Amino acid sequence: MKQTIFEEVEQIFRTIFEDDSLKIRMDLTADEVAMWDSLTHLALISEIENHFGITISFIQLMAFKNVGDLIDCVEKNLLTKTN
Amino acid sequence: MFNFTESCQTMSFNFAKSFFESCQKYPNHPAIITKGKQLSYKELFFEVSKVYRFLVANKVQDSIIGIYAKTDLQNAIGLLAIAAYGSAYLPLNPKFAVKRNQYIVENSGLNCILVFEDVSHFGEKTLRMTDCIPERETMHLTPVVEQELAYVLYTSGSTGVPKGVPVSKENVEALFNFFLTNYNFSEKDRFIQTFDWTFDISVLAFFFPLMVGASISFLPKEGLKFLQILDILQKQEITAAFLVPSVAALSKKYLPEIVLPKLKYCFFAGEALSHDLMEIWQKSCPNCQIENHYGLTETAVYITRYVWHKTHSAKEAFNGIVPIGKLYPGTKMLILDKNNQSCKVGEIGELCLSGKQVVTQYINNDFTERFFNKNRNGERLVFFRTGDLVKLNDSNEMLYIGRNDEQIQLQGHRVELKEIAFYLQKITERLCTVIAKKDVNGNLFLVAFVEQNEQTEKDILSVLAENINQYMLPKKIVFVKKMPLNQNEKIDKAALKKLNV
Repeated sequence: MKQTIFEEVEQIFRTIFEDDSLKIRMDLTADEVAMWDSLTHLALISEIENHFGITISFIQLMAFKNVGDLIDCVEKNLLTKTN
Repeated sequence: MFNFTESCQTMSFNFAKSFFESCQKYPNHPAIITKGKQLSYKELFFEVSKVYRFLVANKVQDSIIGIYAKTDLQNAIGLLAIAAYGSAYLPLNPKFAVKRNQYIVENSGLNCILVFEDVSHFGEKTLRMTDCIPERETMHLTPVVEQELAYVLYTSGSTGVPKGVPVSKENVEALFNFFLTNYNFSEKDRFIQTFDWTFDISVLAFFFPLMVGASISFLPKEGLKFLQILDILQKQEITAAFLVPSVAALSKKYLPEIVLPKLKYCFFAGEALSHDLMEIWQKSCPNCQIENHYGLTETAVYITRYVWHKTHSAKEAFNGIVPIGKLYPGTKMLILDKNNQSCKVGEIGELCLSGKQVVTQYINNDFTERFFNKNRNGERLVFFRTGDLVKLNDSNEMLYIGRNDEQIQLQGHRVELKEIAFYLQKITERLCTVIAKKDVNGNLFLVAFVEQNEQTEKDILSVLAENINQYMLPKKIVFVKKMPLNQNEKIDKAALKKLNV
């Protein structure tokens, strides 16, 4: 499941950053991507919420340190949703 | 061990003097909180005295000292040491393009730049801080240099180059007096400093808390700024914050989940403040007085004040935007129409300001057209043309309407669109323009329009990034075959704005 989420999240990153060759890693952080600012971050979260049909809370948002945390959060929210 | 009093007595108004007074009163009270660590007033004084002693040892005689420091703590210590030394500080920003920093050094005539690690950009002008353990006699930090200026900041300029604003100690003293008179801050307060040191609000957010013995929290270096600000406001129970409205706008979706009961004051400035947004913000900080202030680097940070109120402000808002309020005492204003005639209540005109907080020239006496003399009640006053269009409402509160040029406020930063277009034109050798657009949440972003040549968006942005600051980079470059022109043969921005990008 995590691999599927990873691939779908990578596609969302490519759409938001308008870069088809963008590759994400579990340990990738906002500081490493030049255009990853507050506005882009919100656009990214919003797109992920819409795509997966989940809601990411403020507490969850604050806990993200890298892409891996984001993917774990999506997985957790999807599991909660299906249960 | 320390004799703060003697350090204080020898000085007229000076950032360091106020800091020394707090050191004397509250030596063990936390002054700075950064990366989970606290630095007491006494500990901060000790660090400041090291840099002061280093300046003495190097026989620095410069009336303006540049500072190029990578961390907030280095900046804080360096700025206080330069102030104690009697010189004015000019901050350079490691986040700025190298060429921009070099231009500032050249334009201001800086000869001494204090750095804390090896830096090659400034050649012989670099003064690399080395460890210097203060001896007992250096505990009296008396000024070595006599200087009327407190600091020099560079702002975005429409001619393609930034302009230097020299702010005097008298200008800043008037600003600080306003805050001392109108608020009752004490050593129990906890402030947050969120701004780059090249941004004028940092002056207020850093030096003012030190004046009253309060503590200041800095942001961590990594991560997204608005989230860090919310985190510190919440976890460190901040009581007073100078913020740009973008922080509230970006947090809007999450505000129902955020509670800030300890926050007593929020001073917003730098961008249009939405009344509806403040209604939501107030729910998160129910004990907070929300204020909208207005000012420019040329007016020593803020110069007008409006106290937001749920009911009154709904009536007083113009197009949903909260007024900027009334002038601080001691300031005089004119609202002038295109023919330089005073506007009546309700009429829109350019705000021109004069008074203790207002500078009367730029560095090198550049842009003299922005200043003019006027006799008022037998007094000859120098007025500064702000370029901001305002009008008065029936309660004599000022409403901000917009600019009379192409300057915008982007997440609090003052940005001249012409400065970006200037460099784009230089890079592409084609007709170019830059437009500010709003996204679905009402946040501004920049789009550049360039007549097609062989360069790609990536090529252009990478060269542009060498010349302008990161926050000034357009989010998108749109290539057009031929730039649309209006009847006056100028770029038809109205047509470009209609394009869906």
